[in-house]
Amino acid sequence: MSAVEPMKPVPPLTTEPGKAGLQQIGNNDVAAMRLPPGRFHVVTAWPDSLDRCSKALSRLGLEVPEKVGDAIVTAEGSAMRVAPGRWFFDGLDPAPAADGSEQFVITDLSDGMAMFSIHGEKATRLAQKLIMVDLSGDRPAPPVVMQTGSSHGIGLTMLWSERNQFKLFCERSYERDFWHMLQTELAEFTIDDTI
Amino acid sequence: MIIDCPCCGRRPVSEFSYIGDAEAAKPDMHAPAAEWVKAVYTRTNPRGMHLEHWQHLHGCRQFLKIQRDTLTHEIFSVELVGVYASGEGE
Amino acid sequence: MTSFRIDKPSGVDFEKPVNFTFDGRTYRGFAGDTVASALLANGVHLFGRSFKYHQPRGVMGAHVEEANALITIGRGAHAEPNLQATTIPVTEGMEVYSQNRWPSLKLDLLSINQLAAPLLSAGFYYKTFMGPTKRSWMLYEPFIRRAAGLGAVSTSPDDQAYEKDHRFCDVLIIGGGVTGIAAGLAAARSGLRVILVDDRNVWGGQMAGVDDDLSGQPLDQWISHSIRELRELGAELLSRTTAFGVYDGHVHGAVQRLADVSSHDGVRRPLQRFLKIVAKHSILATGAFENPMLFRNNSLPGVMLADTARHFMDRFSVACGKQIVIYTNNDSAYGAARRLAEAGLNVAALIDTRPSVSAACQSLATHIGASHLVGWQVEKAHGRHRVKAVSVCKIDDQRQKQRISSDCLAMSGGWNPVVHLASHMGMAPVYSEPMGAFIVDPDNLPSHCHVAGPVAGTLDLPSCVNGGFAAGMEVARQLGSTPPDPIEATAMHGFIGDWPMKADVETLSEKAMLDFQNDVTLGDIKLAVVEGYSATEHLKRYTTLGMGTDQGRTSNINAISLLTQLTGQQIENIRPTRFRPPFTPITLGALVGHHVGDHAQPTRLTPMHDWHAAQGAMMVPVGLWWRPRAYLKPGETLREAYIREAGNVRENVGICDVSTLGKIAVQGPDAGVFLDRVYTNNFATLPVGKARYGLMLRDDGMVLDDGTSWRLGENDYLMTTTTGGAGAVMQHLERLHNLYWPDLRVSFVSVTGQWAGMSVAGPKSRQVLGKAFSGTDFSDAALPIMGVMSIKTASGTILVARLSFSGELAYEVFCPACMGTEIWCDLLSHGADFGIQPYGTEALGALRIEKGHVAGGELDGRVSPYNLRLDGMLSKKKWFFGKPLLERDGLYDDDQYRLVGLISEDRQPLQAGAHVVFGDKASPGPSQGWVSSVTYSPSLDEEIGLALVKKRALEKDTGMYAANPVAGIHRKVRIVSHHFLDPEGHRMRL
Repeated sequence: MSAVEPMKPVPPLTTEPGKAGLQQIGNNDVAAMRLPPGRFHVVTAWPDSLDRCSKALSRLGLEVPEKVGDAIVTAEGSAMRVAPGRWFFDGLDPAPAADGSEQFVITDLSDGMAMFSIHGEKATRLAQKLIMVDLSGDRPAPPVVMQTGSSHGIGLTMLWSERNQFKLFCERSYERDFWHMLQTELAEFTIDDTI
Repeated sequence: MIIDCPCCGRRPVSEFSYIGDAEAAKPDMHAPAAEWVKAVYTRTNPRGMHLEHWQHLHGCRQFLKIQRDTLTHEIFSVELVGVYASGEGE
Repeated sequence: MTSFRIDKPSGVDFEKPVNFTFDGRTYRGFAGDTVASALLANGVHLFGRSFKYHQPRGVMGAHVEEANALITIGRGAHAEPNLQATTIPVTEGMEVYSQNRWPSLKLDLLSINQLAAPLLSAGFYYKTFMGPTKRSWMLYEPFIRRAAGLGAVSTSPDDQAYEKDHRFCDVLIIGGGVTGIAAGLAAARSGLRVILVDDRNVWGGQMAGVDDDLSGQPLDQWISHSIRELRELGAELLSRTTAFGVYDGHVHGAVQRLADVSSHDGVRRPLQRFLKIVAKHSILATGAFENPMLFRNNSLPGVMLADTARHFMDRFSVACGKQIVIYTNNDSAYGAARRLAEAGLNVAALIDTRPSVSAACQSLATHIGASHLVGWQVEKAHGRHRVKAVSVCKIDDQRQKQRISSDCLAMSGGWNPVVHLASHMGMAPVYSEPMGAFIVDPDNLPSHCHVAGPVAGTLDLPSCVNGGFAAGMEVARQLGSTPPDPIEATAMHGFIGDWPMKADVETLSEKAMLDFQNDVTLGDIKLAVVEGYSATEHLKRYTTLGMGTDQGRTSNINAISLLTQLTGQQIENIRPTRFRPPFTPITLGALVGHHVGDHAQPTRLTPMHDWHAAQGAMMVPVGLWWRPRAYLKPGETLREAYIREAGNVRENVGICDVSTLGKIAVQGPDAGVFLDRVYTNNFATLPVGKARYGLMLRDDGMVLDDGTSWRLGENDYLMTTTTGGAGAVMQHLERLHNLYWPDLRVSFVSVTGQWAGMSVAGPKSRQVLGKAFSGTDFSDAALPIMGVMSIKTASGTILVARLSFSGELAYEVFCPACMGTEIWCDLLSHGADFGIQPYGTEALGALRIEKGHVAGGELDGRVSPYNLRLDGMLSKKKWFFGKPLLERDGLYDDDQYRLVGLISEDRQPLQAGAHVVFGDKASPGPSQGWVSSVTYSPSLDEEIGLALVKKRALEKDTGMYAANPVAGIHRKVRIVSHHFLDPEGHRMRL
């Protein structure tokens, strides 16, 4: 069939993708953690059903962010508005809000997302490498959600929940590769380059 | 090049995908074949101002109509189009 | 201290010695030295051999304008060639090597090239080495190529670490000399976010180490205080950082050198960092390079630029010679002479080509006790590996000659501002009459770009400082920030007015070197002009002047000046060659960062990946995914493995990981309507619980992708696409929705990662499923062809669809990804009794080719449904996207391709990409089509393939061949139906 010579297989990491268990690396300045999968849903509405959708969700006690880029972070999870007609719900379950009236749809991606946390004093400096958006200016400021292609070429949703805390989401199949890259960046992070 | 997405703010062009000439018609379903041929193939390809569609592929995935100078890459306007065309849903 | 150091404080710390090697010999330098200053301090003047003629060369410039002192640092995989000795700080244990010489720097046998000089003049490869036969050049070329060149690049992979990062600021100041520092102060004092970059490892630029007065303060103190203030105001100061390019959108590319050698302490640190800097405004304060003078042997070691000699003294306490002669055509060299003399160095003579000079110049020459020859020129420098004397003569009376001993000839041909980065954005430099140089056109700048210092047309110290500060204030004003208090710098010494005069080409030696790096002489320029290559862009390409890593930094302006004299053109009308990024060479590793080896592109793994790897499966990249190609048993070849696997599917049952298929959740009340428009066949009537194979077209009627869509609920569909087509299909759906039918209430979400997918295929597949999911009825009635069933388990819902890609009785089992491995292993263990074996992509391909199912090889974007014999899937009752352009007659004429099967008559394997032809190997004739997919067919025991062949050719009854002229393979083939096996499709209806 194909005449291409196969490359050698990717060596497995010590922990498997998607398996529960936290793996943290880093130091006091900045650390990254690999998170176990959890409830994750996408809610999509249309221009004339946005209102109704927001109401249905708030009846569940789910506060819904107003503008694209807004995020509401609670102890149970977060709601992120990633597009004019789309929200991501991380940890919170909007499924019960499905009202069957065809005003909005819910897609379950609980198995489909890999999640990581970056935290620490220098978390913003590490996050800055991943996204070409100024994280040191006035805006954006936490809590905010940003979607980007990321400097790794892996599509990323970046939830900046508080000053030193980020949660990153990417499609599950990229998990191992993205974790490898984060490890590499962390290992080289402590360069002091002033003269 | 940097594009100021109405949803996401200023982002590098690598996050976007060029869709095509915004002035190319989007014919009605039942429009005659000749209209479709024109819409699919005929382009003016100007040197200078160009109205074009882009999609913020690695971001909000929304469609934008952009006025850009094809010579200098200067962008003069960015507008949200499509399902959530400017003015709706915000 | 060696005899080439003077006792004067500078940037060198004599308390911290640093030992390094140069061509294997150990030398001692100090912290703060560059390789150049340390070697000069040790009396080393021979640094390298020139590119073409292998002439001995030494240090000529102070910094990145150095054309010849090119060195390699390190050995093996970490060797970095073509570094300028003037830019690399010495570190302990650094290994430095000279380049382009054999066997040694001192005794370079290849300098015999100099004898061949007449054969190696401009454009020689078009004119010489042409005979005696037409192919003779191929004989000479390897020798010529081996004899020329600069450094050697390592062929081992570079395993050093590089990093990428982003920076943002209100103003980016390019150049950390006095101009840039002043600009930074103004901007930072007004509260702006400032980034200041300079490619040196000290601040102050060319003026580093100078203690002349600036507004009543020693300059070096002003510099260090200003840097401290900038830090306190929060400015980001990036040293050893080259801003190499300016791009659209206010984006700048810069590379920061963090170290020159890999660290040895086990911690993996990046060597370099590639920064993308987005700045609202930028200030170009890049200074100027000095020009060489033109005379015979002007490239000898010991001949250097005048301010360079001064710079080595000021910044490194290095004496470049004991008998310095200054050769100039302008006043600035007098400033250099003054400082050299004040430091106690012997300036023996001042040669000035101008007919007369100012009183200030005259009195300075008298004051320092130098012989002052005004209206004289240097004819020739003498010496073999170093200058030892110069011959001078009076310009208007050539009989008056002198020979002056000198071990350092410091020449100044005027100054030439570093305008390159402005050129990146398309702003061509303009000639400034008062300055006698090309500067950035202030009237041609966009409002967010500013210039200051020499690039803006000022050369003297106070004007540079004031201009820099003014530029910073202007940025503050434009950004609405409170401007700082203005300053008015003054200096005791500055450039003492007056402007350079260009030499008369008639009086100059043809052997005078113009481009020091590419060995282009004055004679080469004359020859090029005679032959008609007198436009600057032609001149560059014909003579190679301005090429290489030097890019004409010390030669462009002299060349332009000569052109005006040789062609009579006005200098205002000559445009320098266009400058493009990078400004100085950058290592590819810095641009690539972490994306090397396994990370060259992202890697995608399926949920069952670890299981495949643990089995030792041969993995193959399919786009970004890794898929098992075959599960080789010990001793098996790939071919044996896939034959076994495919055969087992046809006989018993196999299981294949198909998680890589694109999966899109298409939901909403108008989902059915949308799919009906997007697929060529009917989808509006697809009932809940059924799947359908669909064909999707582009707007021009060509096939975009194929796949199946499953109706899971009233408004809920799961669409599958080919692995490679997933992204394109998603974009297609979104584009059609947003730009054509925005009113439809439909949503698309990529769920590729949500579902693990496995194909259970073979006559015993039903039994395996029945055993694995006991309690569920998989009979033909319960789950007919194209049916979809959902099984709710405690861990999640499993979907089973009866779909067949292989042509066997088959099911696709989709489960939430976290259950993937569990379900996979479950099916394998329950299937053991039925002979289940996993199969990979190779077997998957063999099976589908036997059935004539199209896949990636056929769906190359150039084929219509008619070509693929899928025109039966085009609904006649409804409209679908792509339909209008399918009505073009040309898509159905006799030259159109049709999908067929091929059998290799001599039972030798066919190759995908081979062309189908009528003729034999010697004269195949024109292509009649191409082979799109190939395999050995276990069921038929034949080598087969799928091909697209012209209708016209199929109507002939003659034999055909699959021709692969590149590999020299020509196979006779028999054309058959592409449905090799079970054309009625009985096997999947079991």
